[in-house]
Amino acid sequence: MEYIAAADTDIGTTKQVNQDSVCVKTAKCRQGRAALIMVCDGMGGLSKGELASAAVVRSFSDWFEYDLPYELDNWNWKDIGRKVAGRLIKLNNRIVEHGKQCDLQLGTTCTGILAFNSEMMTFHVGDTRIYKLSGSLNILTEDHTFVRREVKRGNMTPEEALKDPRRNALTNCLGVTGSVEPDITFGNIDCGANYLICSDGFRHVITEDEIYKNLSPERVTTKTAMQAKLRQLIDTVKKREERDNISAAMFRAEA
Amino acid sequence: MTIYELMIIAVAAGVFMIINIIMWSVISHNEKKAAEKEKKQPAVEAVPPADNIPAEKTAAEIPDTIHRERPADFIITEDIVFVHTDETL
Repeated sequence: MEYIAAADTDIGTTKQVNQDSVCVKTAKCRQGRAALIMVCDGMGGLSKGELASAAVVRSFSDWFEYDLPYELDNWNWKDIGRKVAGRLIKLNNRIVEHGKQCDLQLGTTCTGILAFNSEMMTFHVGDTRIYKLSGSLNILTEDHTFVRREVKRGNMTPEEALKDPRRNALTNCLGVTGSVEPDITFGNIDCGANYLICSDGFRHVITEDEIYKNLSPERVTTKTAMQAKLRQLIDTVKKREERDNISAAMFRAEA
Repeated sequence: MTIYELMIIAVAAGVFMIINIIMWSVISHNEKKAAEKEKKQPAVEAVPPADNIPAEKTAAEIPDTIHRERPADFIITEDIVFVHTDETL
């Protein structure tokens, strides 16, 4: 089993600060392969979003490097799921507390994949997305947004949701309220499929067709190709005057 | 009131009741559909199902990470971290 991964990020055309944070780590070990791929989108409407997203990425980066190696001999996905969810809740509390102490409101999304050999786990809070590209493009996460909830309830059409002024309002994220509910899922890695994690700035002004055509596993199988295509798409998004920060990470496993 | 007028009122009341029954049945059917749709579909094939995680207890159990020595056979092969501040919480 071989893991291939890449990432890119850009401040975009308008913002003064890039409030996104990204972590891509892969490791080989006696027990096989492990990987952590995550994107956190600090909230632009709130101050110090880059601090919130960085805190989450640093915490998980440290966990992957210094705690996870000691879990590998007795790997248990349920335990790992609890630890990841618990870490997100603890980080949420820390960010909320920091906000109260400094009289700020800061927040971030957090979406990621943790892989171990042929299995994987997704963890997700917010509207950063995980796509699976394999024959077609499938979304593996559900946006925690006000408009997504309204579409599900039948109060809005998907077309109305795209234009609604509340389309960026989140119903679940880290750092804003005392309560956060991460979505955790478990499954098998589809070897040969490409997985893409991207902030909303990456996907606002490109179509899913464009994402698939440029990043499909038929076209992109190496780290170099991933880096090149991600940068190409980011440049396209900037030309289309996307105002937000733009971040994306890719991952694939090969048997 | 004449019998004719009373009949008209009765028919109107009956029609009103029928319309209400139909309307509330449709609303209830739509709400059931929405509730079913809200039930989560597994995003990937499930390996083990995730239990409900007791939030406060779980968060309290997570210690801060200590930068201890990694096992020699744990080798980082890709290490990309993008953050845009030196500040910490």
